Amino acid sequence: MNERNLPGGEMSSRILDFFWIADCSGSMNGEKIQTLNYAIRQTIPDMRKEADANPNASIMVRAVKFSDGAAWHVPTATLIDDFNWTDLSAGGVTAMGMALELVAGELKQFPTDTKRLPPVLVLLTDGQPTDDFKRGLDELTATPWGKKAVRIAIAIGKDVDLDVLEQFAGNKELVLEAKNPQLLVKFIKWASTVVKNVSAPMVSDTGSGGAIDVNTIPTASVDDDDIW
Amino acid sequence: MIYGEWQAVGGIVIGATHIRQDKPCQDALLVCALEEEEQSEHGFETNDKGSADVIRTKSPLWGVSASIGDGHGSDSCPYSNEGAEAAVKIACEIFREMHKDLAAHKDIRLPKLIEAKWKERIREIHEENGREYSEPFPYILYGTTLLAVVASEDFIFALQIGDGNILLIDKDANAHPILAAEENVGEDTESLCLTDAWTYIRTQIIPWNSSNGPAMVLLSTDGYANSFSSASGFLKAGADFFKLWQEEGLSYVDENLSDWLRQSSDKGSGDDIAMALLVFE
Repeated sequence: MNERNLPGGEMSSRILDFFWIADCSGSMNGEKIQTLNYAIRQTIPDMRKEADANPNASIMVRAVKFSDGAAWHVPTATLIDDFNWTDLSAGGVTAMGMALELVAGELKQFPTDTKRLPPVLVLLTDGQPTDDFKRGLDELTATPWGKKAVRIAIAIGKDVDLDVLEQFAGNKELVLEAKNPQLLVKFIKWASTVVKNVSAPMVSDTGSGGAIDVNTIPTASVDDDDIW
Repeated sequence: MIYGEWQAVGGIVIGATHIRQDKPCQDALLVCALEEEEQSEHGFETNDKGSADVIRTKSPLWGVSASIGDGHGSDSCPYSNEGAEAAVKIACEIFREMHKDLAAHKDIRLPKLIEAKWKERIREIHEENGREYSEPFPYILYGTTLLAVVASEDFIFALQIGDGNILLIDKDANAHPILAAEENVGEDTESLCLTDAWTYIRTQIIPWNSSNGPAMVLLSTDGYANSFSSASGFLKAGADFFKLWQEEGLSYVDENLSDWLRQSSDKGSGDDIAMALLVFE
């Protein structure tokens, strides 16, 4: 191999940015937030395995929490190999719009000439926004990377404003209704698996050819409880 | 030699990601001379399992063309490697038929012809393989990009649909992107499988004169540019290829191209890479 004259500048694997956006409002208190913490922690080994299997993509994880306001729970893009989950606690209202603004601010910083893969944004909530959700969403989708992001919404329980989540996801099929803890765990695990496929090309204007196979979204099983 | 001549070499490698997933190479490459077929040497490679063959052609009479295609490779496009092969073959056929009229027909007739012939060929492939379908015909199964260049004595013609890159590197080793689309972040790409795909085909004619001195045109599928940390790293590759050709000769580039593409894919995108280099001196 002739490495001496390898043409071109610095080479690197492609970055895949993954954002957890978690509702920590008072209504999440108890089993909902405990299940969320448990499920996100469960995704880590699988995401690490996926990263090992694909050395040409670096999975970087961040997390945002929102209640009375929005704040970074994991502020620094963290390589999945170094990522650990610290449990969230719940209390306050549902400043979902502010959370999206926070993510938008981060995506704005991404240079457009780098060969990043589309970011994956996973929004988890059990309620309705108590702030200006539309402003946050507009800010998010106004950024080039926000527009291209794979956006998945997980509705926890029965009191969720599904219209809002559909606006976030931009696609009804990517709004997943977790009506019980078992489904919430399945959905969170499934959302983490889309990192496998986001590098597949999406044919412009058709919405086809892209990565997310909605047929793989888990469904409720007869053994699941129905308590939310 | 008064007018100089164009020569072309090319290479193709399967990406590490596709090897891991046991998928075939989705890229295709065809370099051909534009004289009468019996006088020309041309090659075609699809390369299933990672070897990187190099194709070389030389056309002192009229010119050469090089075409590369990048099948989308996603689950919705299971035959996209066949789509890419069909695209590069059709580009070569059409260039041979109408290379002297390219300038006159570059905006409408040629793009329409490429779309029509590709779709006709795809239907044939589908039926030859006994694959079922219902109308409207699912061209997306074969979705691919196409980049092609014809280099002649007095012009360079470039054509592109979808992602990938074409660079013109001048005698001072400055690399200039040709047909660069507005930056598409993420993985969106235009494709021959789209309805009215011809409207997405971009073309450009660049007047050429032998007094311009040595020059190189580089075509590569997006797996190559995506291997670099930044756009400037890719432009530097264009300049480096030019310098290597000038200092070491085309045979040296020819001999090493497959190794360089393999290393680039491994260190960078992990994607398949097809590349053609057309040089004038």
